[in-house]
Amino acid sequence: MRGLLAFVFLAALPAQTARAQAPEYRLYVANESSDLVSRVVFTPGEGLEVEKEIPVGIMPGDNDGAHGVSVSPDGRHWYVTIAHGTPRGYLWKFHAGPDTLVGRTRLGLFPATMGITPDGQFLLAVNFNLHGDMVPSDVSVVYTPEMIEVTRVRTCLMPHGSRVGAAGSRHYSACMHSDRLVEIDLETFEVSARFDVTPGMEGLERAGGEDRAGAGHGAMGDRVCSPTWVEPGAGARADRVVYVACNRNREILEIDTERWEVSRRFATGMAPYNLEVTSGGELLIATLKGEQAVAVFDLESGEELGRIATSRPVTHGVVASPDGRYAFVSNESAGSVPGTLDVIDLETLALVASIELQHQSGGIDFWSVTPAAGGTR
Amino acid sequence: MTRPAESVALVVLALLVAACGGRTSRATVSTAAAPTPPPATDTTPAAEQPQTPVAEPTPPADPASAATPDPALAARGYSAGVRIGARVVDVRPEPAEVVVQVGDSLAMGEDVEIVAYDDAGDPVLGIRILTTLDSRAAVLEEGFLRGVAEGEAELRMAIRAPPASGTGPPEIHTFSAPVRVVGLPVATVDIQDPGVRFFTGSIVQLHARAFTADGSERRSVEVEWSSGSGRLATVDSRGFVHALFPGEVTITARAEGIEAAFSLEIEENPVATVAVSGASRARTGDVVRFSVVSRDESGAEVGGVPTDFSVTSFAERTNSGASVYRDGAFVAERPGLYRVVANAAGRTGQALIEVVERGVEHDAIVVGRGLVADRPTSDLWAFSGADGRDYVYTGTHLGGQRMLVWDVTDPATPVLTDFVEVDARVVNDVKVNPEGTLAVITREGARDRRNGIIVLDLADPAHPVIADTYIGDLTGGVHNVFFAGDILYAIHNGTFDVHILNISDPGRVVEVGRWGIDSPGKYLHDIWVVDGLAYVSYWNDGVYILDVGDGRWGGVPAVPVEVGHYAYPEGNTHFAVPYTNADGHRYLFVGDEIFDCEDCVSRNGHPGDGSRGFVHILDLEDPENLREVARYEVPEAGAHNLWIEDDRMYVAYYQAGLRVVDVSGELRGDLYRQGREMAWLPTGTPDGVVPNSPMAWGPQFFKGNIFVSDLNSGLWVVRLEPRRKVPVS
Repeated sequence: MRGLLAFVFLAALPAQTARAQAPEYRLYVANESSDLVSRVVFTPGEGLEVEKEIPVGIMPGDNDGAHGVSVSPDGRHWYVTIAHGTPRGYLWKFHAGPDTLVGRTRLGLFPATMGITPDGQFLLAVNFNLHGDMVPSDVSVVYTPEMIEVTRVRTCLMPHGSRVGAAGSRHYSACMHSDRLVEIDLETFEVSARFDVTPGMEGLERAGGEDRAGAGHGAMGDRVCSPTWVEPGAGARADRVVYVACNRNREILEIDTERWEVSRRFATGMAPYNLEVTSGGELLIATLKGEQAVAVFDLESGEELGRIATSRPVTHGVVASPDGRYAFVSNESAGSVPGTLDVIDLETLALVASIELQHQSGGIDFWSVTPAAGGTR
Repeated sequence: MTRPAESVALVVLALLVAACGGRTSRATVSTAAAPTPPPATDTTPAAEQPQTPVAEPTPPADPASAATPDPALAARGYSAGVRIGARVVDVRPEPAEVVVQVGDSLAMGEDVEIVAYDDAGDPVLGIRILTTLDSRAAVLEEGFLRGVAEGEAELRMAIRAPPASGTGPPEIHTFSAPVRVVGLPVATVDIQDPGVRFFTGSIVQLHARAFTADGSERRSVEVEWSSGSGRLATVDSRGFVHALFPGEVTITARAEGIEAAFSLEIEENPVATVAVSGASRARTGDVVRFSVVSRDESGAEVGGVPTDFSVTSFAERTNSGASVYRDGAFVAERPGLYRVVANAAGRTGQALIEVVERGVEHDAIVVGRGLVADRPTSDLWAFSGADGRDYVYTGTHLGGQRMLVWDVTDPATPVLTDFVEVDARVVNDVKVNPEGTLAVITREGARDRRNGIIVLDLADPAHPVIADTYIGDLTGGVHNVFFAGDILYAIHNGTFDVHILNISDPGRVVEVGRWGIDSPGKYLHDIWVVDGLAYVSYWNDGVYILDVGDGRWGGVPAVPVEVGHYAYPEGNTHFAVPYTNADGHRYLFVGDEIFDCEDCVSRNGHPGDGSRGFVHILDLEDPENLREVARYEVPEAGAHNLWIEDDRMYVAYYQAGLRVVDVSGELRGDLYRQGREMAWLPTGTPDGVVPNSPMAWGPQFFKGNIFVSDLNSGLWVVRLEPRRKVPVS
């Protein structure tokens, strides 16, 4: 039971919430240095509880590294990338709820973030190759019903962040070490666009740019974006813009993917890392890895509404509830101090609950909210 | 077949495809970053296009018939590429047999074209075909299929098609084709001289080796054998020569058209008697050498007689518990009476040998413990400190962050004197230099994902202090290290190379060299250095021996030279340590660490608990030609680290706890089954990180005691005592 109900932090919880009416929000969070995935439930007014810890990985003598977590659009399955491998990592698929293993498939070096097509058929995982030689890496395309990798798309150095647009026709990933945003056409599974996010040089890459993309930071001068995440717009901006976190340049770029130009910039605190856009497209939430905080932006006005300190350092992942009311934030922490999951009320912009998970809590995705129409999201 | 009524629509669709720049005669091949991005459809000139109908047009969607499996109907509402998939019944490469030579590359789309076919056997046009290949023999990247090592691979091809139900998202249909990776052409063939004479009635196996022009051996090449005179001698497909009549005959081995000949003279068999001699009594596990003397009718000794051996047991209730090898080495697993038979050119002789219990059982007595229950424990190192006291340092795992300092001067009461806390979640390895002045601990899981090593000053060994934090290129984490004078060899998780560090100035570590193999999917795990030779455990690529100062092969510490290499089918080579026992036998003990196998059964639900793997024992007399002669395999568990001293091997055998094995004398067969196991201790404890779950990590024999670290329970101090037989009352 270690880790269950470790501690509950209920600052600023609305006192009037009643259990019978309160929805229950459930999430999965990967703990990279514990090889455990936590299933957590949040009940407004009551707080957070770890319902289950699911062991993943196969080697007790080596940290397998559960990095990314993604829930299928229908909520029936969840996926976790096992980053470390010997040397190649894996994708594991589980039944959501029973949390039983459905299947596995081997991917590339350090598979990290995933994006899933709206129909749930294809999962695209970036092979981050974090610690290997600085050579272009790729995006693995997995056919999820059979858990087979059907192709790999060579993209750039250290691809990270992986998201599919609302229409399911385009996939986006960022290239931390070659300052690129890469778009993949999901009909052909080919790279359809490369956008340079180097500060001052933003623009669609011209022919022949692939060599430059493979050159790494050393060829690009001092100012770099070092993008760690890309998040498609939602609501009215769905399939029109994507948001790119420039980790080193302390800003978020809004990139118009029809005109292929930077349409807006959002200055942030230190090291914006992961991004989330609420389902209606109203808010943009950014984890600030270097600042132990989360920044919330109003996408209509472009203003930063607030910056909320998180409970532990190395703030990592963020996901918003489908109703747009809460943001759930994972914090890695460091060393032997376990990571945490925080809940931020997006109306009050306050931290309303926090719970200690396992070591290096990172990958996070929303699973369900009950009661709700259809039972789950 | 196309119905006339559809012909107009077909033409329209064909024009549409063509208007989109479409190819019409060939399917396309998708590979990662192909040299020229494949177009959506074929660009083959019209004159070359086969007269095959393109994608059939489909009527508007009709929900009422959505469940029909008819492909044409099912294709409604899907994109053109998907609709076309409904007609595909097969996808296969051209040429049908994909063969690539080691070191060569085939251009996908040119040298190898992937084509989709319909049920009439005609190519289906304009469909996107995705390809992948997961193999250690070949890689598929940048639009090329590259041969890496001799072997077989599977090319997986996938297309998208409407679902059979007619509704819902498209399905992926997969197909596969074998890929054969062949070695460089055979340049020479050599038949090894068996070193025996050929007498009528004898059966002798010849061995042929094929070599390429660069001198490397082709191990998997097929060799055809033939006899120059079937009347005098026959030879079978395995090279066994059956000598029939006296005379001269030439045996030929042929590989890829290259031949070698071996001429032999068959003599009338003079052997009349065969005398077999050897010890008549032995213990289980003892290797007894049987020798054979063959004589003719006159009693004169006959030399060069081809001889082989067999053994039978007189036991009625069990199978034979002994083996005898071609070199006359006999070893028994069970006590009993055995008959060893020597076959010398068709004549036989025999000898009896009685085998008794080995009788090396000892009791493992727990002398002391240092319980670690708040975090998993990893490796350990025991040493005498500069202050004259004895210490054990232990690492920690999975959120551990610390190296623990134990004063074990009184082994019965290990005292935790201090700990060193670093920015890491795994301190996997701990090593102390022979002088006891420096320690190095490894880092994995650092907060900023930049790991490296920590150098500790042991002026006060009870309270070591950090002398340097070295990251350099070791950002990916270091799993193991080993000291060799002023050099530290570090195993890097990122490059999977050995990084060679000069540590002569502990406050200023400098990388001075690097060594690694060139193998796709290589994974490096450990290194051990003894007397100028390094033993590098390279997982599925096996163990490598490097000259890092021995000098016989020209190696120096910063510029290693490869001496020998050995890989075995089980793979997962995890650890290797050499040892020369009191009888002068020189062996390399190699552990593999296997998880995720079919037999890897977990007891507590965590898949990691189901470890397997064993200790392979290689003859190290000639480091350039390693051969496996024995093993130690606990059937239900998995080997981890080991330590050998005074002819005793101490193995931390994960869930099977500490095992102590007698490795004296010559080693053959499975030591576990021979009664060579002296003692074992389950290292589980109710108050451990995981209660009652042994997970022994690493042993070290030090000053008469065995120190063992266990993932779930911390530090154990164990002493062996001869087992006292308790009389039966």
